[in-house]
Amino acid sequence: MVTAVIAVVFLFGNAVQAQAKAKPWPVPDKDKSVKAPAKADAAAGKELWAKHCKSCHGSKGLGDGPKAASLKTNPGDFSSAAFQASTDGELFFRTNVGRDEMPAYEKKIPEANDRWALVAFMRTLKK
Amino acid sequence: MGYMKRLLLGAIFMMSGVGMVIAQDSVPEQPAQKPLVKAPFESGYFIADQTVSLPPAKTLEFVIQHDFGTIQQKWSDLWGIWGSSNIRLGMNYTITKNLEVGFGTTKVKRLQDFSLKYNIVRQRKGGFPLTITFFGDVAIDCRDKAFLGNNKLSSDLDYNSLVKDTAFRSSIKNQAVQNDTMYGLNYITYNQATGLKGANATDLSSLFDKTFKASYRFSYYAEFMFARRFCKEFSAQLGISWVHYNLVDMAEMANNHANGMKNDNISLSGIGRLKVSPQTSVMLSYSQPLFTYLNTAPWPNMGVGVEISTSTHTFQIFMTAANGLVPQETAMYNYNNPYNGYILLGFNITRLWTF
Repeated sequence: MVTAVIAVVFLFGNAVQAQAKAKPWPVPDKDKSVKAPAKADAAAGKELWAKHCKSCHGSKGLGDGPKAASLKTNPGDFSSAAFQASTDGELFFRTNVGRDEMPAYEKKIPEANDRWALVAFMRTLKK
Repeated sequence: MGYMKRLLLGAIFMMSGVGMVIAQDSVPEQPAQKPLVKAPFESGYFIADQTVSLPPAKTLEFVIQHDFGTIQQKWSDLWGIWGSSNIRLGMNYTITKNLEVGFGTTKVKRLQDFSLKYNIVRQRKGGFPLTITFFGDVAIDCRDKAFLGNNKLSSDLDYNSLVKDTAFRSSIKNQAVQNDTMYGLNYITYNQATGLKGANATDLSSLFDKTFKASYRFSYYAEFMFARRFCKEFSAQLGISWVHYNLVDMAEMANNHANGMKNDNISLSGIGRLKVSPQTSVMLSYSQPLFTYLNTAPWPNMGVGVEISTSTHTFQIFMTAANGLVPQETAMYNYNNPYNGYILLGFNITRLWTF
């Protein structure tokens, strides 16, 4: 009986904690079409990625960072075709403003060039 | 040094920082400036030193600094981990991208410190080669005054009315004259007084109450730091600092006043950071006070450690010598001689919240 109760509690617990898939994240048209500067530096972006993004998104953007499992929403796979289909402006906007568990980086990374460098690095994650 | 002069020194020191703020804010932004180089350090803290770096504007920073005891007792106190420790909890807030203010409270000496950090100029790619930052603080020793005011008994106190014991009255007056003629001092130390003929608790307490001043609790620190990020992996910083204590520990004064402890000191410091992985760095630091007393202390401080930094946290674990957690303590009161193995384990943790 005790075993059965424990099993139910664990099953129920898992059901409650199941990670949600990310909802659609629409970006205003004016931001969607913003172009990345030609000099966006993917190498600099990699450095920022390691500090600010890797813990959730993983070193290759697969959504498998050490904190990913404890998030309510799955961070997604940045190497996928679906993610890479986003425009640079969309990635820049989402990086800037954040949503729910995803922090807004406009203030944490104050220089726009640095945030564009992150977008450039995200492009290198494509499979 | 007179009371007014000490207050004035403090005011000048604080105003020098404010003056720079006004001067900088009045300079209009130059169009088409060269791009900024990334901050040379991950945190404003670096073992026992400060760095040129500030968190982004409107960021609240919480810091925990902890030093264990020295490793001298070896396994009997687990190399200082069970020994006497020092801890500081602090909060800093970056009001603008260049200006940070802070407050902290420290266990040893119950120091309450208020700090200001101002980034004067930042390194730019193909432009200005350095990041230069000013850091200053005022610390207030909040221990019971019994720990503070008893070190210095002025020669011109009215010993006739303050000292009831006739033998003590006579001996203390004689000592005051002797200090004046031999060392040119206008005071006697509390330690001297306690050893004099007829010394007693009642009279010493009476003398003590007459000599204590609230300004004895104040100490000041100011530092200009010059840093360069040479490449993604390596950054270095040099600093020059000035420290002033309104009251220094006269009990430490030797008979030879020339080597006695002074109220001011100047230090030079150097720190270097080498990144070994995107989030991990090796840290090295060294600081050298230019003036020593009793021919030895304060000893230079040195440190070696590892830093792990993420978006909102920095964790540093290190071995260092000084156990003072506000910079003036390191510059003035480092009794731990690192060359004789008086070193300790410590760590710093910072957490950032951006608004």
